[in-house]
Amino acid sequence: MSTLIKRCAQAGSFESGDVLVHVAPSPEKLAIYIKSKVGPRFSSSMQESVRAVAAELGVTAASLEVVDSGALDFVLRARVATALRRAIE
Amino acid sequence: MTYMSNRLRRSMLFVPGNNPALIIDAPVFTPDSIILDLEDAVAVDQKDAARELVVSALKTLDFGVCEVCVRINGRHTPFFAADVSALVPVKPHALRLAMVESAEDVACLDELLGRCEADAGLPVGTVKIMASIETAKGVMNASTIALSSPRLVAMSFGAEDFTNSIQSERTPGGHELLYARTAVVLAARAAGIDPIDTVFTLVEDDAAFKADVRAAKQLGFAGKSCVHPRQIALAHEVFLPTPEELSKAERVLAAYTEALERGAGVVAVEGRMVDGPIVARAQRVVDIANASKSLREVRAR
Amino acid sequence: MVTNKVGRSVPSFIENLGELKPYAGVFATPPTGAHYAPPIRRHLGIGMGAGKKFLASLREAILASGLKSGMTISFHHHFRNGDMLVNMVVDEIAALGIKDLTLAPSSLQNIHQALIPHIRSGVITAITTSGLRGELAEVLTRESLLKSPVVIRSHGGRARAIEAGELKIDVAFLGASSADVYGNMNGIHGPAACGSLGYAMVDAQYADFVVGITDNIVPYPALPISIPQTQVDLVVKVDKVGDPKGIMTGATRITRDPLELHIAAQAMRVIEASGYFREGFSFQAGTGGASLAVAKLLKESMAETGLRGGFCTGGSTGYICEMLQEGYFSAILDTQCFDLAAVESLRTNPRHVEMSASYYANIHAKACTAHITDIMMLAATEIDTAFNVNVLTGSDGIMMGASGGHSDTAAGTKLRLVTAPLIRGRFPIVVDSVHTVITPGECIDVLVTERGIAVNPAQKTLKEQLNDFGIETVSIEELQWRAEKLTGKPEPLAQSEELVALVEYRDGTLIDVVRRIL
Repeated sequence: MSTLIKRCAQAGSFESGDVLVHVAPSPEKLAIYIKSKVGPRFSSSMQESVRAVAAELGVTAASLEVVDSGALDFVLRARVATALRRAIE
Repeated sequence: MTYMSNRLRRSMLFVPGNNPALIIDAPVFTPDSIILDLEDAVAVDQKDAARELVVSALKTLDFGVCEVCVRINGRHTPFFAADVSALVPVKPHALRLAMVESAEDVACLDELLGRCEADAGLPVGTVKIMASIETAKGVMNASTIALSSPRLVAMSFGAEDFTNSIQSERTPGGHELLYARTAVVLAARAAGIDPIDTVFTLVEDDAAFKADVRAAKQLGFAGKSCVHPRQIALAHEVFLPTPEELSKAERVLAAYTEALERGAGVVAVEGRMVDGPIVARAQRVVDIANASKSLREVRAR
Repeated sequence: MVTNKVGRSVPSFIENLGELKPYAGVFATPPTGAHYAPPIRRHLGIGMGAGKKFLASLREAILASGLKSGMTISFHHHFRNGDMLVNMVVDEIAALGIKDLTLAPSSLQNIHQALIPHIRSGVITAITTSGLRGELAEVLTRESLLKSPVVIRSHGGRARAIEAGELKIDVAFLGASSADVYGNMNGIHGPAACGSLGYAMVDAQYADFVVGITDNIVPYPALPISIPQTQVDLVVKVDKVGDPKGIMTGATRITRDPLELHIAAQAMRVIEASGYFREGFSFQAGTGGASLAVAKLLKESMAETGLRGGFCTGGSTGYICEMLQEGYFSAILDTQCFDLAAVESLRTNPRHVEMSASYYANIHAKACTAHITDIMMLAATEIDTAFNVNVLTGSDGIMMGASGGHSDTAAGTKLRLVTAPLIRGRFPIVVDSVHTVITPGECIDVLVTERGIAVNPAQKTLKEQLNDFGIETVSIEELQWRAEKLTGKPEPLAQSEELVALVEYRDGTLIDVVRRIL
């Protein structure tokens, strides 16, 4: 049974080194949009990380928008987790 | 039985727990301890975000030789239990509890830690505790607090909240803090744990900061809480033994080693009796000297 | 395409530029030929009476210069991002219907994005410069708009090319903050004061026709004489040559960033251990945050020990000038002033003198300061495991910096220190292979970052000295590993095979190229 996204939520910031993650309910699938200040060279790995965190939390349907300001992977994962948790509660 | 720390805690750098850039850079400045702060530095509506970020950081980052502690939210806040249960699996070296007023505060954390460690399959006692004394009541209970748990490795003093609790104001001279600082030092030293002095917030004033650290060292503190990276090197400078202190410590250790080899019952250095605590102190002095960036600096001074 | 000595694939011929030689080593390619000489002409006596060179408008000057389509025009970049001259002159040239020009400024800034329409319309069809920034650089990296790739030259390389006639300037438009009606000019007095005119001097000497432009005509003679009347064909007064706010600040402040200060402290220990920090040492500060902070640490040490330095070179800032004033250094040989305090020092301190870009960095000058200096602080956008350095393109492959004096000073200075944060905006500084080689690895001695110090394996003695001093050093591969452990490895850049820029080494050979970014 997958975890349900009940509402919109966000986490993080626009500060350098951070990401802002916005989560919204989505009917069927996991839709991930990434906009990064540092260009496209980390977008695959970012996609993977977002998917991995969503999977850990059992989320299979959500819309995730990530605005990146040069965050390292552990920051991205933390912010995605927080945003998802806030959307789940 | 209290835990005798071999770690140096000359500097404890506070890092706001919700600030990615500062967390990443903290180990670069080689503080002895890093305190990732989930408490005062984090707004109430970001407690969950900060907790998640700190957990993620502890899971992923290499903090080198720094001791990594997390200042969790107080026992009576809604965040206390969530902080502890989220952090234990990622094994911070210690959790720092603010506003400790009684042995019971520490005992409560000790007990919760034990349960979380068991859940996480970790040996009981893995995560240490640091207690922060910040109120009049805390000061009065300092000696029992210092003995309240085998996990306790340090006890720090927080001046801002303390002066508030005694309904006074902070002054440059710090007279209003003297008894409290001394009480914390005595309680900690009697229990064999490290007393850590309060923060100094005038970040631009290097000379005043060093004077403050010198005063703290004189009172018997083992280290200083720092709020800015530039304070770390300055604190380490102050805690560096003078050439005289260092050579005296080396003579004590040499005499002690030699006496042990001879099988002598009593050790004397320069006519004065030297026993266990004095030797331990001498070893600590040498450790601090060795830990400084270059032994050269000490030799050359 | 051929492979050059740093392993880069470079063309041997480009249409509109001709034959090109591949980079063969730091001093491997000897010079040929003689100095170029501009034509001798009798003075024009135009305008306000015979024998007078002062013209009322830029338009008249352009017409009088004989500028035609297909020619090469040059400028200096001393007005930095407050420059108004380049845009103004090109606008005027375009209005006259002249086109197909080669633009040869010593460098270009953000403000020159106004040139983009002129490039698209064919007024400018070729560019050679030390640097490109902002929107102009972005457009030129993403689109092939010119008839040949941009030729990037170092400061010394540009001087060399001009003196050898390889870069033949038809008309040089040289701005000055002060000039007289016969063409004596300086950058020291006037509202648009910029200090040393080092990058204009070579143009003044070798261009076929020199137009001096100022917003501040002073009584004859304009003193001090940085560019003499004997080299200037015409003088024009305009309303404004530059915006003081964009030209420079009052005084450059030493950084307060804890990370930069930490890097500076590490760099200082390397300098101390190197043996070059000795009586009479010469120094170039560079422009990064950490490098000026090193100057402060040098001063503190020198104050304690009584050590005194020799000359400072390159560009000047107020802090270095203050050290000169206080006797820590014996002279400043200055090619560019970075703040008003430096301009003031140039004006008042006889031991602070201007020098041309050729004097500073030309490989074929009979002596240049770049070959004499002891300690040099260098920057990097990227550095690879062979210690090759990039200062031209960013992590997105877009041009955003300048070759500058980097490769010049690195070729000749005794201790070459690169200071850089190990990670910049999520990207590791240390890479397998830099996107663009500006300075070859054999010219770099040490990389100092906040997470470790790496010595070029070719510098065994230096490594031992550092280790003896108690400085831990690691391999550059270890630094790369440390960085990637934090950031992960970025995906490769998407670029086409089309060349948008050629990087000419200081001796005129090709050291690298820049490909169009998709």
